[in-house]
Amino acid sequence: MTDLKTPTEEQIDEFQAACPHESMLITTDSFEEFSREMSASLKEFENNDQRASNIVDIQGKSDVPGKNVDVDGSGRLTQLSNSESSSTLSLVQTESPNDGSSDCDDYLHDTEWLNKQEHVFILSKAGKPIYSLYGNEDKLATLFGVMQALVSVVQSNEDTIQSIQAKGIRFVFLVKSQLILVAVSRKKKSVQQIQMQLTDVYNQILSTLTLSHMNRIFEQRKNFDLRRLLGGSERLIDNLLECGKSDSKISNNPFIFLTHSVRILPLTSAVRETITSAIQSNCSKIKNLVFAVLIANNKLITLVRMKKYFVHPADLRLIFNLIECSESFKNGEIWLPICLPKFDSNGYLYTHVSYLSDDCQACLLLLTVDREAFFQLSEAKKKITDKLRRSQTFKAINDAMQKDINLRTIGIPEIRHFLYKSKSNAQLLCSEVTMPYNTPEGFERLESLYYGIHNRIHSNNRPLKLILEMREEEIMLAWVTSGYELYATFEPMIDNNTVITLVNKLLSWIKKGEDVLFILNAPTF
Amino acid sequence: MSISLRNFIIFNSLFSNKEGDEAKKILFYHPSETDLDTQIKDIGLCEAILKFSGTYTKEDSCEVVRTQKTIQLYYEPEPNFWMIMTINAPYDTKQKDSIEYNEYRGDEVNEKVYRSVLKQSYRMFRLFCGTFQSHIASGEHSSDVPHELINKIKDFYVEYIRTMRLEVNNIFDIFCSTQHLPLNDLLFLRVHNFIQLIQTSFPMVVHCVLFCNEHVVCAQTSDVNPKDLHSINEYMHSTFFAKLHQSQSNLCSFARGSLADLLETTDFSGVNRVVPIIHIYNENTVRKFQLIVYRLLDAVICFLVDESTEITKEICDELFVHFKIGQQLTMITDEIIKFQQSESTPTSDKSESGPKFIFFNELSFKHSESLRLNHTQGRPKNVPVEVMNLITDLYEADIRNKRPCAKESIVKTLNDYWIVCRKSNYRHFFVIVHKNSTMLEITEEAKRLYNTHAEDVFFE
Repeated sequence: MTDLKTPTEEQIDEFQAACPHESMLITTDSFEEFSREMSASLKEFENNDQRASNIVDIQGKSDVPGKNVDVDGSGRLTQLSNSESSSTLSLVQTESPNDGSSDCDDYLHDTEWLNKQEHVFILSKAGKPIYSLYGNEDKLATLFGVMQALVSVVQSNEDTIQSIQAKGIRFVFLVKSQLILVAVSRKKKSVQQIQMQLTDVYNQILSTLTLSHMNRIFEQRKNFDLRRLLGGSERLIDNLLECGKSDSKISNNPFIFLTHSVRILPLTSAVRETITSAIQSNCSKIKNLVFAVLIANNKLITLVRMKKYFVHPADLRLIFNLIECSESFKNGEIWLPICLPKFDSNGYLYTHVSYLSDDCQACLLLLTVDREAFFQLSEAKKKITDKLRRSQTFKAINDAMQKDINLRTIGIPEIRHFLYKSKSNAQLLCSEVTMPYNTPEGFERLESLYYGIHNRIHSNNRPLKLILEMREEEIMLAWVTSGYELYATFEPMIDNNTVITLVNKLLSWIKKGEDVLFILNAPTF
Repeated sequence: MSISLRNFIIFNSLFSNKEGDEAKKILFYHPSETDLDTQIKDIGLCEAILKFSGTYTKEDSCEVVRTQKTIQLYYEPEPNFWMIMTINAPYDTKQKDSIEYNEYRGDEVNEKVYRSVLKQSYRMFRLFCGTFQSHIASGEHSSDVPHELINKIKDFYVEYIRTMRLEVNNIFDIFCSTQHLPLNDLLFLRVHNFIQLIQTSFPMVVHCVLFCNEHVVCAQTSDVNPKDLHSINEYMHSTFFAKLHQSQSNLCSFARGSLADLLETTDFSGVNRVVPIIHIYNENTVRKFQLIVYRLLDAVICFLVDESTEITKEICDELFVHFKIGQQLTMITDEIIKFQQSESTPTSDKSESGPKFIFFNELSFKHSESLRLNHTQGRPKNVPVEVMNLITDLYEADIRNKRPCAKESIVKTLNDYWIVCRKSNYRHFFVIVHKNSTMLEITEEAKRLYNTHAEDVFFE
C-alpha cells in the first residue's frame, strides 16, 4: 500500500475491506491459473475420468428423471445435434462441402491473406483441418500438414512447441490432447495472451462437444472430420476472436478478455435486489436449476447460483459470446445444451434462453442439468418477466443500458480512460472510450498499450505491483493491489503528484458507487 | 537445474542438394558426441520452422522458438549460414501425488539477451577468422564439403563454447557497449595526446586501446565498429585477463596463435611468435590487423598494427629504448589510478544495498554502471535475475520505438525493487532501488542519481 502513499490512503484500504466475502464467480488470477493448466495439460492427457463431475454430483443429489441422462452418452449426442441443437444452433448453414481442391497455393500466394493481422487455425492431432479464421480451411491442407508435423516432431523429443518469434510476427501453439490450435499474430500481444485466447477458442469447442465426447470420437477414428459436429459453431469462434481483434469495433469488449472478468450493468442495489429476488422466488422450487444469469448489453445484471457451485469467468464468457452473436434468440424461447468446460467439461447444462421482453432487451438464461425441464423453466421465466414488469424494473434496466461511465461527468477529465478490475469477484469497470482513442487507429493504440502493460505487470516470471510510464503521447498506469487492478491512461505532461491525486479521486468515486457499479453479494436459490 | 546449453549448430542448407545427403549441411554441431541421425533431425526441424515462418514474412527472419523445455535462438549472419543455439530452460523438480515432475521456468531465459550472445559469438569468430564465406574457395563446388571452413569453425567454437557462461549473461550483452573509465578533462586530454603521439611516431599502429586495471581508458579506434571494440574488450577479458588471474603458463587461446608469450616477455624480441590477426569490417570492406598486446603492471595497451607490417627488432627498440613507452605508460596510469581513488571515496553508491544505476548511450556504445564491481564479476550479486530481466524488458520496450522520444517509467516488483528508467535522445538511464518506499521518494532518489551520473553526459 505504500506504492502511492497519500493522505487518502485510508480510503483505499477501506475500499478494499468492503469487498464481498463470497463471490458468484470463481476468481483466480487468470494468468496464474492458466499457466498451471498449461503445465498440467502438457504432462499427460487431460484425464477426464478422475475429475469429479459437477453435473453427476448435482443429478445424484436429487432423484430426478434427468438422472438417467448419460452425461457423455454418444447416443444422446447424436440426438442432440439432430434435434434440439439443430433447431437452435442452425442459424448459420453448415458449410456446403467444398469442391475438394486441397491446393493451398491460392492462399499462400495471396498477400492480402498472408498479411492479415491475425490468423487462427484449428486442426486435429492427425492434421485434419477443423477451422481457419480467414479462408477455407480445406484449401490449407498443406499448411495444416506442416503445423501438425512441427508439433509431432517436437513431441517426439518429449517436448511441446509453444511459440515461434520472427520479425514482426509471432506463431503461438496450443497443443491439447486431441486438438492443435495455432495463432499467427502481427499484433503486439504476448505469447501468454495469445495462448489464453486460444484456450478460449478451445473451450468454445468443448462447449459444443464436451471433452469426453471429443475424446471418444478421436479414439475411435483418428481421422474424424470434426467439422461435421461443429456445424454452426464456427460463428461462435469467429465472434470470440473478433472480440480480441476489434479491427473496426471500438468497445471495451477486448478488455473483458484481457482481464478475464465480467462487466456489470450499473443498477442501484434496490433494483438489482428486486430482480434477484424475482428470479429467486420463481426458481427456488425448481430442482436441478444450477444457474440463472441475466445479461444486457454484454454486461451482467445478476447471477443466481445453486449453493456450493460457482461460475468460472471463462465459462461466463462463453455464455456472453453465445448471446452476443445469436440475434435470433430475440425471437423467442430457445432450449439448448451448453457445456461449460470449467464447470464440467464432460457434460451439458440444458439452457433456457430468452429475452425478457420486446421492450427490455435483457437476456435471461436458466441452466439446469435436467434435460426435461423446458416447460417448467419457460413457466418460471414468464413469471419473472411479469414480476419485473410490475415492479417497473424494465425502465431501470433500459436506462442503465444507455449510460456509460464518462470521466468528464465524474470530474476527472485528465484521466482519459481506465479499467478497474475488482479482483475478489472478477468484475470489471471501464470508462467510455473517448478522445483520442475513439478512432480506429487511436483505439488500436489504446488496446496495444493496455495489452502491453497488462502483460508486463502479470508476467509469469517477473510480476510487478506498479508500472507508471510517462510517454510523450500519454501517461499509463498499471497498479495491482490485493483487492483490485487498475489500468489507466492520463493526459501527458502531468507530474507524479497529480497522477496520485487523480487516482485517489477515481478510487473514491468508485468506492462511493460500488454498490451500483458492482455486484457485491452472491445470491443463491 | 539452472540454465544450460543444449546444442549449438551451424549449418548451410545449400551444401546438400539431394536426399540422403543431409549430413553435408552440418558445419558444426555441439555437443559433438551427438549421433548423426539426431543432428540431421534437429537441423531438419530448424529448416522446417524457417520455412513455415517464412510463409508469412518475406525475409527469413525467424528469431526464437520456444518449447516447454527449451529456448532456441536463430541467427543468419551470412546468407544461408544459420547459427542455432538451443538453451535448456532452468527447472525445478517437484513432487505431486508422489510423482516427480519438472517445472520449467523458460520465462526466466530472456531471449533478447541470448540472441545477443549468439550474435556476439559470430562477431567474435569474424573478428579472429573472418567471415564464413571467406573460408570457402571461390572455385569450390557447392557439393564439395568445405573442409577448411569446417575445421576453422571447429577450432574456434569448441574453445569459445567453453568460455560461455550462460548463467551470467544479462542486459550488458545486448548493449554490446564498452564501459570507459571516467576521467577528468585534463586527464582525458593527456591520455588522448599520449595515444596520438604513439600513432604519429609509429604510423603502422593504426588503432590503440588502453586499459587500466582491466578497464578501457581510451580507445583511439575511429573507424572500428563499436561492436568490434566490444569484442576486443570481451576477448581481453575472457582470455588475456582471465589468464593473468590464473597466472598459468599452459594457456589456451581460441584466437589464432597464442598470447602466452606476451605475458611472459615484456619486450618484443621474440621472433617466431604468431600474433593474432583480427578482421575489422566496415561496410563491405575488411581490414586485417595484428593484435599486439603490451602489459606493464596495471596498464595494458593493445596495438592494432597493419597486417603487412613486420614487427622487427628495430621497431621494438624504437618503441622501448627511444620512445620509452614503459616510462610514459607508468606515469600516465599512476595518475589515472590516483584520480580513480580520489573519485571513488565520496560516492557511497557502491555500497551493497544503496541505489544502483546503469547508463547506456546507444550512439556511442558506451555505458557506465554501479551494479558490478568489475567486468569479470558478470552477474551483479545483489540484484536478482528477475530484476536484471526487468531492466531488459524496459530497455526493449524503449528501443522498439525507433524514434528518439523521451520517456520515463517507474516499476515496482512484488519484493520491493523499484526501477526507474529514463530514456532521452538515445540515452538510457536506469536506477535500481531496493526498499519499501513511496513512489515520490523513489522519483527523488532517481533524480539525484541522474543528476550526478548522467546529466552532463547527456551533452557529451
